[in-house]
Amino acid sequence: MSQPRGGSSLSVASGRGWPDVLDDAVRGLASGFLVGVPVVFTADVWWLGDQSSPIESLFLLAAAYVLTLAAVAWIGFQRRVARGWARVTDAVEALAIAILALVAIFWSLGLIGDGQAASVALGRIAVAVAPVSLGVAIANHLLARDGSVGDGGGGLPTPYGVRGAEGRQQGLYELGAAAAGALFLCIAVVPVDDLSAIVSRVPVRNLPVVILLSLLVSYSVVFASGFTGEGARHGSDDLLQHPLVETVAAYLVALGVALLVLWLFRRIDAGSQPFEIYNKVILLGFPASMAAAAGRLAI
Amino acid sequence: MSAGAGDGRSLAEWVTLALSLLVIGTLVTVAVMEQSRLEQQEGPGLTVIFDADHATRRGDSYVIPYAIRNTGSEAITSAEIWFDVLEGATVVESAEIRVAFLPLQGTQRGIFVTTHDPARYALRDRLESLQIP
Repeated sequence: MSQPRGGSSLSVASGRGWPDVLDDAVRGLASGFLVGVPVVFTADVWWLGDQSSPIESLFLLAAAYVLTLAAVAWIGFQRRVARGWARVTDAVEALAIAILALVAIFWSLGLIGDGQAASVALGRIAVAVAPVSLGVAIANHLLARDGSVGDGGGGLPTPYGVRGAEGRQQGLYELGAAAAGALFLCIAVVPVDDLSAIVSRVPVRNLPVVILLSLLVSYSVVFASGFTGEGARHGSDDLLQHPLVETVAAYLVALGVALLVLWLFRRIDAGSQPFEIYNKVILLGFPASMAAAAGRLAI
Repeated sequence: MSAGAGDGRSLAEWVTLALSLLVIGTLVTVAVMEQSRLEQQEGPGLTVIFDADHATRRGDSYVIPYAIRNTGSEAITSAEIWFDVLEGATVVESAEIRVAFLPLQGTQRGIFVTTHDPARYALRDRLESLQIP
């Protein structure tokens, strides 16, 4: 019998209630964002989606389902062991979560639902769905779940929830990890200069939505998806580790890193208009904030 | 308790599965309907709309907004279109407009600058070539 890997608290029993089901869905969604957003955030993926016919999109969707099924059988995202038909239905749920994630991303960027043809929306989702659904399907492995919702599972001490100077130091470590994660992603994205094409295609009026989605997903990844240390993070009394403060601080760090990398690779310079800089930083800050969240979870 | 999809599944799990099937089913339905609609159309096509009512004068020139819309059944990777300014049946000015890429129902907006007053002269578009993926 194969067992899903990476999960520390998987049970064979089914019959889970709403809290567990929603928790798994949010965790899968967060994992899908982490894996999929860097891939989705390339102009070539959009361009390929624009050219796909509806029938080609259906084939891509079917291929994504097969890949997701394999990943679910091997790893999975539900807090239980899936066997037989449960794997098939888990893969259906993973694919649906990925589709909803892509609808949120593309809608926030103004790339669907803003006068585009239905087949264009379909093509963009179909081309990008495989990496996101794979991300959902490997949630149990990507960032292992705690021993329990209340944390402390496995008897390992967590560095969260500490007070005073130690808590402040931990908060600073987390921001450093956020910077490292954002830097890792920005260095991969900025040199290929897809950002210029992306900036030209995203309506300015959508930038506030992009900011809100960046914050919402960052918060969900770290504080609402049941990944390591979530409960202790909620329990910390240090201001820098308060969920909202930490989310906003980490987002600002990601924006700062995005600004720095754009400047280092000369995508902006002293002659750039302030609004152009704002536009690029906010859009690059979207995947950078995901990577920053992953960086915070890694420590 | 079984781990299978059947007997051990709770109400929450059934609802989640039903919603997931609804999401995927909607996408598949849209794909089938779009494919059917596109098959009924006659290949690639472009429509050019001149917005002469909103033309503005800048010095000796007139700036006329236009929109080129892909109204065909395929994406267009590139196209060349000629804009002609006509006095009666005589072409008095021409300019070539290039379209880089237009997805299905995609629109490229721009401005056409001419020295002829659009209130007195007619505008015409001519598709010269068109490439599809």
